[in-house]
Amino acid sequence: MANLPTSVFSSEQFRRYYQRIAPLMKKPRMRASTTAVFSFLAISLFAWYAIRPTAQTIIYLRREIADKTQLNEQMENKITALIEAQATYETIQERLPLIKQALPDNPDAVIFARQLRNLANISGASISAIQIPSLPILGNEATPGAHLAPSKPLEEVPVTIVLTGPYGALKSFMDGLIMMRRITSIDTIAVKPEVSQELFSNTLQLSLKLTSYYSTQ
Amino acid sequence: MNEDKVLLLVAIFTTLTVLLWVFFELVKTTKTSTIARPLQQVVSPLTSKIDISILEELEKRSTLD
Repeated sequence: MANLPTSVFSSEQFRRYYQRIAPLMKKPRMRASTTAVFSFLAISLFAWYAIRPTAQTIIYLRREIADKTQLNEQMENKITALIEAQATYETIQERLPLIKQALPDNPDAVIFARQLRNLANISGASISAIQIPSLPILGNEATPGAHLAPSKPLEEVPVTIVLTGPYGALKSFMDGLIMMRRITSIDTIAVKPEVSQELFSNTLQLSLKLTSYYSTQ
Repeated sequence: MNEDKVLLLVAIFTTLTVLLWVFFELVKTTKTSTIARPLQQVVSPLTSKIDISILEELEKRSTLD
């Protein structure tokens, strides 16, 4: 049998240490304070290594149950809303092109000019001038990140038009413009008598600054 | 004697700190949502009503084509 290092357990060093502590522990005040200190340390250790993880797990699980219940409710509401939206969409599907006609995807400047010409023809007014500035030709993005660039939801198409005709025709043109399907706002109106050879000419000149819009989204 | 008091004070403050730390950790756990943000966006409320009166108004207007 191997010799156990019994000298380790009964070393001179520990004996001396115990001899120093033993009289101190006989004092009631010292004993009380030592008990208190170790109690506090034990409370701290248990609070940190035992109570905290357990309580945290309990609270997390309770919170998860509450969150998942709420999530389930929200998902059910969303599914119901989506079914309703689908039904509404199917109802109005035939009329959706109206939105594209009112607010096209691209400037459609030629179509807009044709609409103004048709309106002038119907009204009995004649177009003296129509001015449309240069507009972008829309297409696919040149680079993959191009669509990330911030853009306005609505882009403007400014148009200047000069018409001549009698008051009734110009009024009819204005009424028709307001009732046009393509969304157009009138920025400025200027009316003046047309310069002509006739002394009592009832022909007027109407200058309009219009803004039409197209959707970029 | 003073060493006793110091040790006791250190133990008391350590315990207080640990208890407060535990308390605030539990408060944080209570306040933090367990649902991921993308999922929260997915379940955001949806309004299924479409303003049909606008379409009716557009229908009345002329295209002039």
